[in-house]
Amino acid sequence: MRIRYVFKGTKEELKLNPNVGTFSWFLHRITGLLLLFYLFTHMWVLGSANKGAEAFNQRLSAVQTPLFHFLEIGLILVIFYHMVNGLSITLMDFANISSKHKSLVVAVVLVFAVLAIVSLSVMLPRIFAPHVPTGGLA
Amino acid sequence: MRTMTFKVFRYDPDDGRDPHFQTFAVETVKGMTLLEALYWIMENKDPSFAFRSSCREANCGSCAMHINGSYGLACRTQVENLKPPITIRPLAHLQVLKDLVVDMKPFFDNFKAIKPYLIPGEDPPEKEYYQSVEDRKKIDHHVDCIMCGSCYGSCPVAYGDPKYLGPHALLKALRFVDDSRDGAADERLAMVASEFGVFRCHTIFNCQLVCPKDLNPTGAISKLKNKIVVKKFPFMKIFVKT
Repeated sequence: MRIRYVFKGTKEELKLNPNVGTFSWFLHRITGLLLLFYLFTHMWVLGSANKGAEAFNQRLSAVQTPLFHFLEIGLILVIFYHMVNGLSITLMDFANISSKHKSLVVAVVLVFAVLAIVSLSVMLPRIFAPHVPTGGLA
Repeated sequence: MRTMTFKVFRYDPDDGRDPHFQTFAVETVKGMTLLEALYWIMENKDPSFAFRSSCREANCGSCAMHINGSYGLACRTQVENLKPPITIRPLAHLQVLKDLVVDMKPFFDNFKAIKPYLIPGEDPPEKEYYQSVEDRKKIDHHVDCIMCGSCYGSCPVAYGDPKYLGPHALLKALRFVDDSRDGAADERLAMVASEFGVFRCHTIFNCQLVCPKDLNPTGAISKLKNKIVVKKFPFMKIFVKT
């Protein structure tokens, strides 16, 4: 019930305060939840190494599909947004520059864009290249 | 004279109807404030329409409400600067008593929790407390807060957690921590370092944006955070600005 209450309110808050701060707070929360979800998936794949090389290779190949490669693009963007926004908040607090909120937002967008473009320019060609099995540990 | 459409939040606990919006056509004149328009509605259209107001000059903080997508004082908002239909809602995160009137008790309870009065550390001097011009300048900004509740209404954290002290109380906490005459800085810092104090703030900046007095509660909260961190870990002094 409590979670439903908070989620219902978040929608209302976005409607009543259509400010850049509300949206970045909302995105920060959503990306945080997505990262938590990714963390468990990540451990599920890596954890299979305890059961030997065979099991690990099998589970790793399960996530080497076009769908997961596509999701990896989202993962990179989610990580960068959460990281850059979090760092900007930390910087804002430590350096006490809350009066320069607008410049901070511009800096966050720019840094995010640079990181996204650089990483996508590396990732996209690899995703569309034919898949070459590396053989793994075995 | 220009006729403008107002969409006003209505709720009366006695008439059994759910909260709803009522539309009024208001004849506005040049220089009319939103508060005057609300009075016009009350006097000419519906005498049962309820809202709070007092000084009409942005000093008492009674007429804070949600106006067309942002919080602000009705008395210092010019009607001609607003885009019709002008949508008026009461302050959020506080219980609506009737129409635009909300119960401010939780808001002022949070304010009282930070002990908003001078606690001198030493015996009172023979004459008045001395405060140098430089020391007074440190609190110049914070004393201007009129407790209108705009920041509290705009704070999404206050929605999720009614126990959260709120930007108004934390701004006032810094006002006393920074006051050279006050002797209870440690006590106050310990108070705002609690679970429902400064560290619950998500740095959303809404309070800073909506403040009708152009104060900076977000900055005050980050300053309090830094003071708490330096008190606990003195070496952090080189990283943070207090």
